[in-house]
Amino acid sequence: MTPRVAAMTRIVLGLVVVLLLAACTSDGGSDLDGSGDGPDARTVKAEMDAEAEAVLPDLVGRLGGQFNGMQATFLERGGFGIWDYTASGSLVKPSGTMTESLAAVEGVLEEHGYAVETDDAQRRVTGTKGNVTVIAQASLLTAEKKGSGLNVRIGVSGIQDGDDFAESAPAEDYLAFVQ
Amino acid sequence: MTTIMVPAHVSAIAEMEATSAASAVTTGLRSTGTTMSDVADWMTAHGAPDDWTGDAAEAADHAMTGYARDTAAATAAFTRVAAACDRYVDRIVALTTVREGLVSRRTRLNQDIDDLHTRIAQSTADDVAALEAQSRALQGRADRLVDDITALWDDVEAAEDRLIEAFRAVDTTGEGADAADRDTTDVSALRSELTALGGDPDAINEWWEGLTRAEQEALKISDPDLVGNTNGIPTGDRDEANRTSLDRDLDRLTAKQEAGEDLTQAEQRLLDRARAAQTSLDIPAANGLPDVDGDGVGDPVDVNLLVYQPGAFGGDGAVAVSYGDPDTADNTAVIVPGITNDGTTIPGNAADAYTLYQQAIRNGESAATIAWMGYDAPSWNPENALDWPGDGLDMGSVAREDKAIEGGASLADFVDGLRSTDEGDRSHLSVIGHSYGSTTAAHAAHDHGLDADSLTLIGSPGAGGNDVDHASDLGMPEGRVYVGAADNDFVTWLGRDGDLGMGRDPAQEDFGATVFPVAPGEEFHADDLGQGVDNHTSYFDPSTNQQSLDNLSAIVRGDEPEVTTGRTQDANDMALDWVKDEVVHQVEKEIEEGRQEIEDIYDGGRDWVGDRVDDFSDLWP
Repeated sequence: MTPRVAAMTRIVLGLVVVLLLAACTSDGGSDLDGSGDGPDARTVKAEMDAEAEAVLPDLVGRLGGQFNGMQATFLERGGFGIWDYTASGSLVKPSGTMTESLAAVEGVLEEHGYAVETDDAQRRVTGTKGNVTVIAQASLLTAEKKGSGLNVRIGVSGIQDGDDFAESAPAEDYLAFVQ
Repeated sequence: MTTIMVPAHVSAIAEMEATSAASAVTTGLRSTGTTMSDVADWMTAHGAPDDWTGDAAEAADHAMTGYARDTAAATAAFTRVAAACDRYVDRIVALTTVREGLVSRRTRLNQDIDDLHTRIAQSTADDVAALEAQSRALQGRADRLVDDITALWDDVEAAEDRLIEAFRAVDTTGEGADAADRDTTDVSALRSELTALGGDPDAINEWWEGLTRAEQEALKISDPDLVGNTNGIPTGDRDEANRTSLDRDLDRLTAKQEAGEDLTQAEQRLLDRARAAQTSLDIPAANGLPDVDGDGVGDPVDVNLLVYQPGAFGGDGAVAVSYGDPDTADNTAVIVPGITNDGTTIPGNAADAYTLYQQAIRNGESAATIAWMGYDAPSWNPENALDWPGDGLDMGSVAREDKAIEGGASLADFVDGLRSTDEGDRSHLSVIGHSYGSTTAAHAAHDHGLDADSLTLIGSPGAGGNDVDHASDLGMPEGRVYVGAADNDFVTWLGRDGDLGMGRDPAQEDFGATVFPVAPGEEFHADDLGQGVDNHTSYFDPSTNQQSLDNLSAIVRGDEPEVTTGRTQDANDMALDWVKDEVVHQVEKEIEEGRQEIEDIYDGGRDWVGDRVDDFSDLWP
């Protein structure tokens, strides 16, 4: 490496470190302070809560069984000022086999306008619609018998705006949508 | 017509009123005992204020000595009942397993009875003898089951009686004082013995296992911070001690707040870290308990607070939360977070650990996944940016490896502790370092011989130090250094040889690690740095980087992940390319915005001229 290239490399490296420092603070980075194109935390919450209220009752109605967990909360990734709004839970005692349950999830998500992908090896169905992603997968990879449980997750990832709202928003109990 | 007497169904077995959740009561008792112990120690050490003299000072000393004695009696009482409550919970856990077995037997028996009814309905006279024999066999099973159910409730009642008796034995000050007098445990001697072991986890584990339960309990109450954070003490005991400290902090500081008193800045920081730890412990309840065994009930998750030192590292705090018990798990993973993390950010890391836990147990094996914030990662609270040389200096250390070097030593010690408390078959243990945490983990491996089965570096700015040129320099088993690096994760563009930076980019093909594919992340620009940070922090995110999460899960289970070829372009060149492209992008953007501006001005001018022409036309019909 020539001295000129080495010097340039150091300059670039320095620049990247500066970018890193700027980006890695809660109020640093141009898109982390509210000027970005992505949705803010308040908008995301409204969108996901509405989706959950619409989709979860249909999932339980079609699959049977009972949910546990499903408390929707904002969590920050490290101290990066990037937030995820997610609710995770398990559906226990569904009425069908695992194959039937995953097919039912696929059907419900498609009816609600989700773009659906399936991964047979991972016994998983993933649906996306707007900012929201719904993932349902077998709790045990080899489970097939009737009543085998599923892990279900509904979430929006990588929210960059709305720190104050995300920090103070109370948990939303999605179990209330299915009782 | 012959009548065959078929036994009646065995009635449902009632739910047990007590569950393992009763351990929360033990924690509360232990926490109160710790507070009492602290008060007694303080009063014994201090007495009346120095500037008091004469009769008043003597009277105060006398009163405080008496009060300290009563407090010591109360401490002894709490120690006794906490130990009794601990034994009760253990017994209840065992009896719960017995009950589950009886419930299964009842289900099978009642089904067999139903089947016999069906066969009888379809039988002929030739079948009577065989059916009567089957009926007698079922009756025998029913009788034995009823006997066993009765024995279960007898055992539950006996456990409750023992607990009640333990409480009654010390429910007055006099009885507490008697307990204190009878208690020959020399806590200060135990403390000295533990300290003298010099942090050797194997020696500490052997010493701890040699203590009586009463001695262990006394030390947990007098020194929960020591017991909870010493490598080599079993996970369950560390968890109990740390929860005691956590309860103490939450109770004290929230009580102060509720009384309308202002917290000092240090107290507020401590409370923030305590609440973050509590939030992390509550994650499985909020995020659901998977039903892996298929019995229609969510499987309980053994959550353990393995480190709790909210005042460590100048108030940044140290904390580690485990989902699953690493002492008994088939597979254990330690996740090491990187820059910007401290004691308050543990919930986000803990959520990643719980996501990984749910993935890891999908193969039917047991797992423990640990979010370990046990070192002083470079972090920065923007509110304290001017607190020089406080948080500003702390974040500045991201450009150096000092904290990764120190953290590597702590990580290696923590893993040694997990090995020393491991029970049964040796757990398959993976260490996963993210960002600056990957450099920390690499230092643990290179500098201290990290006792793990695999080392995984994700989003790595460098594999640490000038002595690590190749994966083999990290001292891990052959082929067990794994690397995941998103193409658009700008932190992974920092790795380089030489004195600047944090070591080589481990994703380079010639570094020799096993590189697994991850989602590349979206391209980003200087005015969209959030996307760049998103790319750097998505390795555990099932929504945007399921490929990474699946591969990490395979590694934790001891399976091989998917494999891809390593990078052939130098990491710094990737950064250089981004800068070049970014310059072009920004210039083009400026030109486009300028062009649009001129076009708008031209259109505006043309409209104005047109309007004036129209005005004149109106005046000149």
